[in-house]
Amino acid sequence: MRKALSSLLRLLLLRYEITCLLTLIALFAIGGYLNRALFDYYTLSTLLTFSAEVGIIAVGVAFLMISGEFDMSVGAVGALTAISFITLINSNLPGFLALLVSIGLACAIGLINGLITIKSGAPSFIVTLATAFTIRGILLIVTGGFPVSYKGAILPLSVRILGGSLPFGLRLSAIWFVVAVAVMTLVLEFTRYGNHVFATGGNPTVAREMGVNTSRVKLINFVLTSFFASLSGLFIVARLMSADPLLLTGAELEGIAAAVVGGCSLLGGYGSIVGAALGSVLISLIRVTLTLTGAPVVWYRSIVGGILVATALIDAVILRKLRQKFL
Amino acid sequence: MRYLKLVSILALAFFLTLGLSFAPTTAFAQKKFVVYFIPHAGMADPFWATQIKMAKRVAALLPDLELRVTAPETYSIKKQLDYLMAAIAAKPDAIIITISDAKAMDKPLRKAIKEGILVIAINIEDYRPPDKRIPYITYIGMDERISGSVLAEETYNRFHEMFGRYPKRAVIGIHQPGLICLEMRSDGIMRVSKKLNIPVEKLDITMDPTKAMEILRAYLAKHPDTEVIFTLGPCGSHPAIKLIKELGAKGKIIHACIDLSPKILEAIKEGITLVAVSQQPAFQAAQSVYTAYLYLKYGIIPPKIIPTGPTVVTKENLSVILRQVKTTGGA
Repeated sequence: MRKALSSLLRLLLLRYEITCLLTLIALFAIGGYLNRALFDYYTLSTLLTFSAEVGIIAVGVAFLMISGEFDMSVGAVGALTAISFITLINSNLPGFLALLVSIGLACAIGLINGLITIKSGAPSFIVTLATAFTIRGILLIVTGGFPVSYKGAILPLSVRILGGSLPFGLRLSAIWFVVAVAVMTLVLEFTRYGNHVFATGGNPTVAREMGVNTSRVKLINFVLTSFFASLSGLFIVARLMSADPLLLTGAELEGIAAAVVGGCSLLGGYGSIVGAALGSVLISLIRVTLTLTGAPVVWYRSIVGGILVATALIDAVILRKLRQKFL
Repeated sequence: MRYLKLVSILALAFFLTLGLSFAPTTAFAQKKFVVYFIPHAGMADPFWATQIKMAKRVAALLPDLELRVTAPETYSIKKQLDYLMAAIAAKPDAIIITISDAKAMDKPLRKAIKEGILVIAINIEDYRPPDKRIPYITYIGMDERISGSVLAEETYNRFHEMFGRYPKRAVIGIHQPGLICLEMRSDGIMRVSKKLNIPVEKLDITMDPTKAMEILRAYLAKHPDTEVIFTLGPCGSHPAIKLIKELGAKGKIIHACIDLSPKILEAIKEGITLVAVSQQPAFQAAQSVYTAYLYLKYGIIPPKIIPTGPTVVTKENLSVILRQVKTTGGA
């Protein structure tokens, strides 16, 4: 029994996600103590809905971070996808075609981000920040700053498949989120491409010498990040039937926070998609708990910052000691 | 290493204390009416900062009411909706909310009403046909159906007092064509103008102040008999006031507008703006909290609309409005 427990502890300590999981459990416990409504099925399904919208972005951001790059344009790309989709279906374009065009546009932006970053050698943080400003500016000009709403009563099937309602307050976006986490985890941890991603982020020089095409890995990951960002925009359209040009402002930082809290290294080469997913649940849980308990929601950013620091400290102090003892 | 240990323990203790400090308001407190105030923008927006402060002031006077303000820092329908969904999960007694997107809010608000949560709309109502509207108990804010006509009537009557006749021509500068509340304001002005046989045109002046000035300038050059410029918000009012000053047309071209700002209040003092109509944001906030309280505690059912405007502001009552601005932060 003792040996089994010791093995389980060693297994847990090896995982990047452990700190995030512990923090999540602690916050659930505190939030539930302060207001039992946190455990209601409606609250939990609401939490899943929020987590899916942030989390799908975090999946892409984490994947890219592990390969050693950042994308600060994910929020803007999500907003662009949402607005372009609504504009196209309002113009009577068939739903699936509008979906393909909107997602295609997002992926094209990912490709541009990747090409500029790789060819110019400029930091991806700056390149994608510039992309974000450009996209936001265009959206503000085109929309005049006002939201764009779907004119019909029921959205096309193409977007309802992505984010439509299910019984008990659940949404399809939560299911797609889980699927995305599962698929990307499999790719990252069980495929050769996943090894290449870790290698590219961990030590690109050595990776290149080992035969990894690091430029291609990064380019693919930039496109994937924008793809997942576009899904977030579409999840929101399925829920709100509208989008404003400032939609998903701050989502890039929330995505990075979720990834870091979930164990991804800012320096690349290290991280987990499951961790990023747990991180996004944690961030959504903070917002829900603040609202349920009546705490001032203006504290949200400070608390997320505090959790980031606490997670880093717990990892640096407590878990490092445990790893030294048991591993 | 020693410092890291200390800091991590302190950080953990801080967050535990933070969490537990809210326990008395939830787990152990005496039963209070819980009311959520959920506008579409928060303290970073001066208009909403005024409302939030006033809502909290009124709530502080009511010992058995707990007001919880949840709002995105800046305008965001998505974040407002997220807060709404979380608020509904808390099963409060009432929700006060701006209907910033009726379609998106329809389902969650109907769910809230079905669960017995009192819903009060504030500042923006559901403009859809009556059979589609969200069945909130009341709307507290400016009645946009009459704001334009009240502005026009007041302006034309004062013009008549000053000049012994009605204006030869008027123009309406609309800074966001298609925006339903602005269109309703404009319709009201056009209705009154038509009744008095005053030629009036609606002009898309855009939200860009430089463009707005140039468009109005070009219109005035083409129609030199224009004697009244109506604008429907500060976006249009500021360029109009600047243009009248630049042209030296004070007293020859009258400005009248909806919604206030410090520049507009200054223009009223200087005699450039003859009439302004206000929706009194502080009144909206105060009235909404008190209306919720009266219903929850005493079963007092409010009327379908409680208008906080159109309230006419002129040089005569400017000192009162300035007092409102000084004490509440806005008007």
